[in-house]
Amino acid sequence: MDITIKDVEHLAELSQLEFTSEETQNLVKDLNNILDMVNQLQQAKTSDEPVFNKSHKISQLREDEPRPSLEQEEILKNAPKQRRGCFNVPLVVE
Amino acid sequence: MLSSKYDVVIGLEIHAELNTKTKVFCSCKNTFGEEPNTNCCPVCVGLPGALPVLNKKAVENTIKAGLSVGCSINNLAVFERKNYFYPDLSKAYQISQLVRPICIGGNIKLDNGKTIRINRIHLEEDAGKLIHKTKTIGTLVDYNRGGIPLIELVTEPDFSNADEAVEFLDKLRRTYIYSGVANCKMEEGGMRCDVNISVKPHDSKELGIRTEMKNLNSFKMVKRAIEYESKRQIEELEKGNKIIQQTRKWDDNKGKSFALRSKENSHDYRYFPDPDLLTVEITQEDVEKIRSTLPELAQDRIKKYVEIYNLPLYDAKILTNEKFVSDYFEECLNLYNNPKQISNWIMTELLKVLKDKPNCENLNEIITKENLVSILELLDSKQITRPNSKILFENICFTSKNAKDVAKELGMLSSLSDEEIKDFVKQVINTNPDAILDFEKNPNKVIMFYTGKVMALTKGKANPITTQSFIKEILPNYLKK
Repeated sequence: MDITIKDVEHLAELSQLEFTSEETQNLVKDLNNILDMVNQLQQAKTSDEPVFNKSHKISQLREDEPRPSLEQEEILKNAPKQRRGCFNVPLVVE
Repeated sequence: MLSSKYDVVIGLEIHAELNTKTKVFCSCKNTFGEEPNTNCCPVCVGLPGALPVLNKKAVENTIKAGLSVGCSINNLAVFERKNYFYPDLSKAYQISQLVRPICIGGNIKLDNGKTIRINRIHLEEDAGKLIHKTKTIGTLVDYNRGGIPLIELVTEPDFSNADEAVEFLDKLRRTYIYSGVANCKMEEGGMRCDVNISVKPHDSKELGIRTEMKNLNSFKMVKRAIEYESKRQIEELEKGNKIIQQTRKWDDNKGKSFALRSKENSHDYRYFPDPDLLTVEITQEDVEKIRSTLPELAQDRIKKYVEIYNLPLYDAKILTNEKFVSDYFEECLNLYNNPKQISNWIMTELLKVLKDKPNCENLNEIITKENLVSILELLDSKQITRPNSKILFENICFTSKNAKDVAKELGMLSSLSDEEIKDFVKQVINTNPDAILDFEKNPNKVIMFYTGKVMALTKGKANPITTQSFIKEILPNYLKK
């Protein structure tokens, strides 16, 4: 399954990213290279059973005990803009 | 009116925030109404490299929710990433479940006998809260809600009208509250509902094209939105138009639904298993352990109240609407076996007081069960009158006083023996002999007249019902004379 220009344009739209046509061309090449590499895995022989990643017993999960959160100031350090204790981003309305 | 030529087909997706102390993948507190961005850490604001660790209680509550509506529990549950770009999710993906949710199947039965099938219940993380301001100010984001454990229940498209959908929601809400998995505070967004609707001609086997309305957060809104949207679709079909598959926004103020831009309808979530989270193994033993903690649910209590306590269905539903009200009713019943009397008092007096105390979650704070039962005992044994019982109630609400002491203090306790009351009856008849003449024409009026006289003479200490029965017993003797 090869990645086409159309796929990259679709992904760019979903991710709200803009690329020049040259960047798009490069991404098509890069993504196909990555897929080729990952495709090597398809050659491995596996059983017909669906494979999940290693399982964790429910009894081994994290206990429901609160731990301190970060200070508001700390959390907002990476905010491009902040206002009234909130992250302030361009207006996005559904 | 909806045209009867068409069938309306409705499915629901219902989100409820789980009742845990911490978030689903980090140890930040799960609380509502805090200062913005104060319940946050690198995991729930999605900083690079932060690793989610699943909360055991959230999984247990999801299993419990499932068991309470008859779901099967998957022995292996997997978490996936649901990718979308929107600032309510800082990671640009939501951790959710697609292929192997924790719960599958299940159903809830409606009062009309119809069974609504449940497709699944899965566990996911809630998103942050957006506050949209003006174009110049932009949007404000508060990630306190981000990462709060959320369960999503998906039904099969089994509903045919708004009332069935609302009844299902109401039953589900009670079930979650009773089993303790979620508080379902709709005004805080603790329970939200998405509605899928399509209509099809009555004789058609194929389903129509559906539209979806998201984030309806009250039963009233769900009802209005469904009624509007089914009518709109039928009108479109009648005009010969096609329904377009789309997400629509319900505007409750305008009472209309609006299409969202089609670009945002092109969902492509690119789900894939979250490599940061291991598969969760749920053993049969885990499931049985959780099943054994399931309490008596609202549906069971309604049945018990109607069949064993002989209460009307209407009363049973009101009493079980909130678990703490139903708990109080049962506590009182343990002390005093008169279900109808207790139920009447809770429904009229206590719920009236409760209306002004939205934060009260224990009726004992209004009046202790012992005091309420004392009032009922005094009333039923005719030691106090009905009007006095209400005054007594008002006097001991929100106090630590004892009902019997207060009744004594206020001079309400009838200290009159039957013989004494009879003497008063004779006395008032003797002093007002003319009234007897009306007895044949209007016996009730005469009885009420003498009752009033006795009440005045005894300053309300004579029980009016006892007094009336004595008047009926004694008056005929005077008539013969």
